[in-house]
Amino acid sequence: MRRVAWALLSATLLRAESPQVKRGAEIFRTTCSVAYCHGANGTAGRAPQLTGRAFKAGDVFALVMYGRAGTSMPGFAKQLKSEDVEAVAQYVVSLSGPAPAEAAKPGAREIPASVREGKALFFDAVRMGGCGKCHELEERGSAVGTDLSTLAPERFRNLRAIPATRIVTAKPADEEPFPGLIVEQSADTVRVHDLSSSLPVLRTFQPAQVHITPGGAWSHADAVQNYSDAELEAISGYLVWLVQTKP
Amino acid sequence: MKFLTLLALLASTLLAADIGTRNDWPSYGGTHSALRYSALDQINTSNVKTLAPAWIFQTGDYENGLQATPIVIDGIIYLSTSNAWVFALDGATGRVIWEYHFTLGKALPYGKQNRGVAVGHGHVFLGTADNHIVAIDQKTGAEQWRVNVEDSRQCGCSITGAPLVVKAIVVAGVTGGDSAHRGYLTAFDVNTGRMRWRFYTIPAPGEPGHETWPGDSWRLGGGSTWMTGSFDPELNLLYWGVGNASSDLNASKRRGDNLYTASIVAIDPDTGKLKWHYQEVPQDVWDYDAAFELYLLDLRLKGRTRQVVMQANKTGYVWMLDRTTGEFLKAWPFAKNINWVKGITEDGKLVGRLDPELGTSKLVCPSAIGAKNWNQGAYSPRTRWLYLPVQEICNDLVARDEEVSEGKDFIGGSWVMKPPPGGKQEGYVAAYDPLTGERKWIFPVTTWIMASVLATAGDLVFTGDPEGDFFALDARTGTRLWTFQTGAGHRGSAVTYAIGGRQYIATPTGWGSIIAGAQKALWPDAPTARPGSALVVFALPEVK
Repeated sequence: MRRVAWALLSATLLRAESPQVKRGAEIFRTTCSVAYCHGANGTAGRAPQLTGRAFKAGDVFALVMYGRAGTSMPGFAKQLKSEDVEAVAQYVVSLSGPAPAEAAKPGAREIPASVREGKALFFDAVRMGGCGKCHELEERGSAVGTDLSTLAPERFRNLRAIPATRIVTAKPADEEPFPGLIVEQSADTVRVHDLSSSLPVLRTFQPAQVHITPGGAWSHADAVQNYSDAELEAISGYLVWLVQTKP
Repeated sequence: MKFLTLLALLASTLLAADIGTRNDWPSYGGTHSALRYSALDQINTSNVKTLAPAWIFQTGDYENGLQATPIVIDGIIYLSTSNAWVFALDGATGRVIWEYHFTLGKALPYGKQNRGVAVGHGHVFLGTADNHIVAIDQKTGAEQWRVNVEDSRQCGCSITGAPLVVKAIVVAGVTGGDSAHRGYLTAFDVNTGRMRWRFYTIPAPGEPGHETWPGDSWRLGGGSTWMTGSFDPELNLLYWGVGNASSDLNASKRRGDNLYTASIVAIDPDTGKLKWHYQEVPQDVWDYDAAFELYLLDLRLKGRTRQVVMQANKTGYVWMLDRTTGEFLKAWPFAKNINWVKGITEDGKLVGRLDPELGTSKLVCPSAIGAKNWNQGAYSPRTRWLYLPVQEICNDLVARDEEVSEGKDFIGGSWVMKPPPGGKQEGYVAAYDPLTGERKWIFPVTTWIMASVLATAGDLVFTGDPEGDFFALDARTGTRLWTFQTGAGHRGSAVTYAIGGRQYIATPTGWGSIIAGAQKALWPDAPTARPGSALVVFALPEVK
């Protein structure tokens, strides 16, 4: 508790008093906060947030000088004087605070090479009508259809023959009926996914505006028609691995 | 003779009326011609000094400024904020008619940004920072449909630009030019939200233009569509600007022209098929998006009246094409500091490129922020001049080899903002004659102009600065005629409209956006640009 208080106090003092930190803040604003990177005052643009972390000046200095391979973090050794890099490092340290507990990432695990292809096909961005448009797995995709991680592995044997148990037919007033998946059905709202579009549409109605009946003109075979048999087999392999290795 | 003069006058007046807005501000750029010009002239050079606040609306969303263009239809203003809240306001009083709050997801690849809504067919359309397109009931504010256009966690992309309603579809662009992503435009049925078509800005194997991408580079090659296009109803053509190729600064893995990045594309809105394209920057290595607004206007060039599409972008050049065919007409520099090319030939070829190199830093002008950013210029058919917000800033560029990973940053180098060689960074509003490229006047500001420009038939040009001043310039001389300190920096787009015969000028205020942080370092002695989020509305005092 006291350490936290001291860290906060020292950070505040450093921020308020050191000309080096001030200089670092200036360089940071033109170099690190602009154009998609760490955001104003390190509060994150596209690159990681720098505020509230526990940085050591030496580590930051090295990172700013030489960058981090395989990421967009460049090295600035050629562009900035070393005293300026040091100033930036001091500024970044001044943004530090009590580190938030590292959020546990559910579902994140090492993927074996044998199922990598299946996963890539599942989330294939180039393919309109890919699996990820309707299913969310490992924090990717859209949670429109069934949560596949809850199913038994034998369900993935034939992806064309998956039964359409939850499908309904929604008939809005003045519109043709469409096959749907209910998200919410209450006294004042009906929310239903329209599955007739290649990108599912979540429609919101008042109950009087739409008539819902069980069953509908939809099959999983149609939904996966953009995949070949071999590709579906690879996807099955990925799904089986996923549910079998579930923590 | 007199009769002919009268006819000519009449013709020019009619033209002005057709391409300018009147009581409404119905679309992002004003009309579908995107000139940001209004035919309203109640507020004019003779009375603007009496312009006074009518009302102010605080959105309550004080994150990342207010970057939107308000849409005004039948006296009602539709305004969106960075957190994807939408308000319908009474344009005469500021009273809230309804409000809608979208709940953004956690993955926001480019942060919280929102540049405005589109309104049409009884719906208000909102794009979101977590990549949804949403339709809201124009009368009640109730959500009607939403589509997750692509998972932002996977694609590293989002929607920050305003959608565009064209006939019975709403068209949404996508960000992602600085991530490993393949850009596209998507069209949705206005009533049902069903996807009508998708146009990928990078051709797939077997499609024309695919040969401009070696290997697999086409899959994640950028080409985002992050601003709003224009539409010509007579030609039935939708025009859209396409952003930079990825990785931004390093083309070693994508040697070729990289179609259709840094290009203007013309699309059949009924089918989504490409009609023509023109690439401004083949194999872009400077983050020189051609994503900005597209002015549609008719101009007399070399003795012929041409239907022109015109664009001023990051490169420091204005590009003019025949909008029926995509034929290159001319390109002329509007910025003073340009060295990324030595010049552009009469047939549009780039001469003397200054490409970034691996490991060696080079000072390149303009910077990746651009001689002009996404905040828009305006064209007045009365003066026949183009009014642009311009900044003279350069950057040290160095290219780096970077591993590609879908949806992750894919910059391929780094940039450090620098003043132009031997000079100081500066910002200004300037007027140009697009027929000659001549700069007619220049209005320098303390820092830079990151808000859009509005031109009116009152021969006024309105814009605001980061220090909070909102001001009116004489469109013919550039003289400042009126200023009001709004208390927050300007990063949005002012509009004008009329209710019951009274003309209003409405400007969003509140400093923010991705480039906002650069301001203090570029101009360390300038006052701090204030955050905020309010719509400030002005009118002439009412005669009692």
